[in-house]
Amino acid sequence: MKKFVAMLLAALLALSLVGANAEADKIEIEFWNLFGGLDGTYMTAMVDEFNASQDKYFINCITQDFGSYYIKLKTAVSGNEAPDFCISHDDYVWGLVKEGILEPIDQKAEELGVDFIWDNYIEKLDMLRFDGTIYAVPLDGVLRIMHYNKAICQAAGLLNEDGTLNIEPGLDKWVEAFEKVKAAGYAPFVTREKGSHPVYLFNALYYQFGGTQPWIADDGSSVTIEKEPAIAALEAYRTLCSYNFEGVDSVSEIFLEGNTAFCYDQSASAATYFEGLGENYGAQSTPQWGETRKTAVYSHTFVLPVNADRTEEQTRGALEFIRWFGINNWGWAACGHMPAYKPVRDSEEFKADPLHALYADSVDMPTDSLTYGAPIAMKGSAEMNDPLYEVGRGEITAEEGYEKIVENLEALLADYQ
Amino acid sequence: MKKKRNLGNPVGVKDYEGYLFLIPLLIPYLIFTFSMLATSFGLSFTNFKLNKPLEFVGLQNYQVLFGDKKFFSSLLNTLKYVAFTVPCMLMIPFLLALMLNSNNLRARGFFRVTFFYPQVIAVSIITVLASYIFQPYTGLVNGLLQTFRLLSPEVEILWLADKNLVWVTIVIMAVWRSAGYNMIIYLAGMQDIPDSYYEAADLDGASGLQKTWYITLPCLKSIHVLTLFLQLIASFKVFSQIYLLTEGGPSGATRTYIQYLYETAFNKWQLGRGSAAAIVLFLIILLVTRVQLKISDRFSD
Repeated sequence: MKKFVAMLLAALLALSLVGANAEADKIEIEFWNLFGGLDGTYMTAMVDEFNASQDKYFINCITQDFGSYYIKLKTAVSGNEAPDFCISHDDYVWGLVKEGILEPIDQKAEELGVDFIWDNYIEKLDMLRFDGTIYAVPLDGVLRIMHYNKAICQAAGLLNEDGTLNIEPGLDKWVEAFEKVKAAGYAPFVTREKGSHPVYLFNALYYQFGGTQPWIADDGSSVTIEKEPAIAALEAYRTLCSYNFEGVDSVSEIFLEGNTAFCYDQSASAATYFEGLGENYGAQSTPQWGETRKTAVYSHTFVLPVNADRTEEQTRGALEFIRWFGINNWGWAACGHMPAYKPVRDSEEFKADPLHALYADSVDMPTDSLTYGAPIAMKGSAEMNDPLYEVGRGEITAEEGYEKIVENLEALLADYQ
Repeated sequence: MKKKRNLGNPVGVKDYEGYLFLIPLLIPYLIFTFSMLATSFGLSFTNFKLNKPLEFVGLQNYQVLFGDKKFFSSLLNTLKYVAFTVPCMLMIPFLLALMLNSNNLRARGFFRVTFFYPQVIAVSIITVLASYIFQPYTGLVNGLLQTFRLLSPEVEILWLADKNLVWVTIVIMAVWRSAGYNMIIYLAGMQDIPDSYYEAADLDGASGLQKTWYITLPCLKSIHVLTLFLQLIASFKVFSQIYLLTEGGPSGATRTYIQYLYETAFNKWQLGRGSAAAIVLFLIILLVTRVQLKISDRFSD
């Protein structure tokens, strides 16, 4: 028996060594990401699939703490300890480029013969060109959509037979809908007041109410947010927030309790809400509250940080992974984000997905979401969130909110003069 | 000739030998504290940014700081925190220690562990718990108040979203987490007070309150000074528990000085200005500590 166990252990050891050697033979490429939760699970699965799909490269996927991610990235580049490639939110990319943290991707790809078909990527790719050069490749379109509870909408007379909403475009029509929900004995609306959510909503409203200029000039010289659309957007923001559950973080819990009609939240929550509400779950892209239908589409992107130690083969491997990720983009987008690779939108898998179909039109109405001239990301910034919070709670008027936003952005630009 | 006895140095240790014993502490202290302080002081006169050449800018960082509204509002928020928490963190631990020191208390060990336990839990966990407890609509506190009909079911108290109430929540959380630490210091002090003092007071017919007022409180003078000193410094440096709970909100109402410093240095990458803010905080704490020591000296006289 002892002999048998010894032989079994020896065989297992030999097998594990073979496995380790197989990994060791590959070129290791360090990849940093900041994904937790469902996103993290999907990203790990994608990396595992790529590693198993070929024998040349091994992507070492390292998940960094979300809160200090960009600090680590910048200090890593400065200390020549940067990863071979990594993730960046799209609205951080321009700042990273200006600080000399990133290298151009398209030039490297051309140099190393990695064949990207750039036209296959969503329009966001063009927003990520700086001086005509691509520094970041989008993984997805990250959206906010309107989730709704069909049973409550039915009770309030807001549901068509096919399960879609029969609410006409316009803020006043949505106010009427909220009042009908209240009259039916339910809570109308819940959304998040913290993090990146306020800017998603305000960005959509600003462009829906006629905004044409970015909030800061592209060269960072001045604040260019337009007064009239901004004030109209802030008034609409206040109106929507007046129906919101004030001061809650647990938006998902509240919506899943089944007593709230509408929830403006990320598209990646669709699967969770569908699982919780079952057949009562419905969703649509951001409603048209203003003059046009627009929604903020932000993206996670792949970027190449400056890294003098990265070999040509490691760069090629990183680029091969990024290219592969585009072609196999459904494996990522299935978690609820919009695919960034256009052919995936034509694929059978995408079309057959019942949840994506509900808000697939979002990608056709993106706002000009990136503020190139801003030295920091606008999403989640105190410069934007503080006045939005005060307007949302009715502590200041829309006009005062606009003045505060302008004042904050001017102070921000002055910081970087 | 009779050898002179050295009562202060009974084992004959030479003066310099004392310093030798301090070296293991002093070297890391010099490297990791004093040199960092000196580096920060130097950087506060530069426009230091990562990946950019260093330039001397004189007092510009300090001028910008003193012209920044957020600098003053965050300093004011920190002063509020100090003013709210320091008295609570002296009184409540003192009362808890008094209770634990009582001979009449049963299950003393249980209470001692219970009161100290939050201190050993990570601040992030305490904060997550607090955010669940104080959430409107789904939180424990509002739920209990509504269950016991102290709050109408239609009304929600916005513990974390109201600019004034949020401070109450923060102070409750801070006391919950940290009172146990000060309580242990007080308890140790109380156990050093000779029983004979209390026995003499008993013979004179002193009440419990009188014994506390005339014996316990004065005998703990050095403990009060120590606790006040430590608590003031800790309160001025508060960051993580408030940042994790409110992110400085609602609308900047709880943005503390260290958060301002952190955002300046690491979100905006104005490391020179961040260093200037750190030096200003150092000077504030130095000043407050000096004043405090002066006052405590006067009391001891």
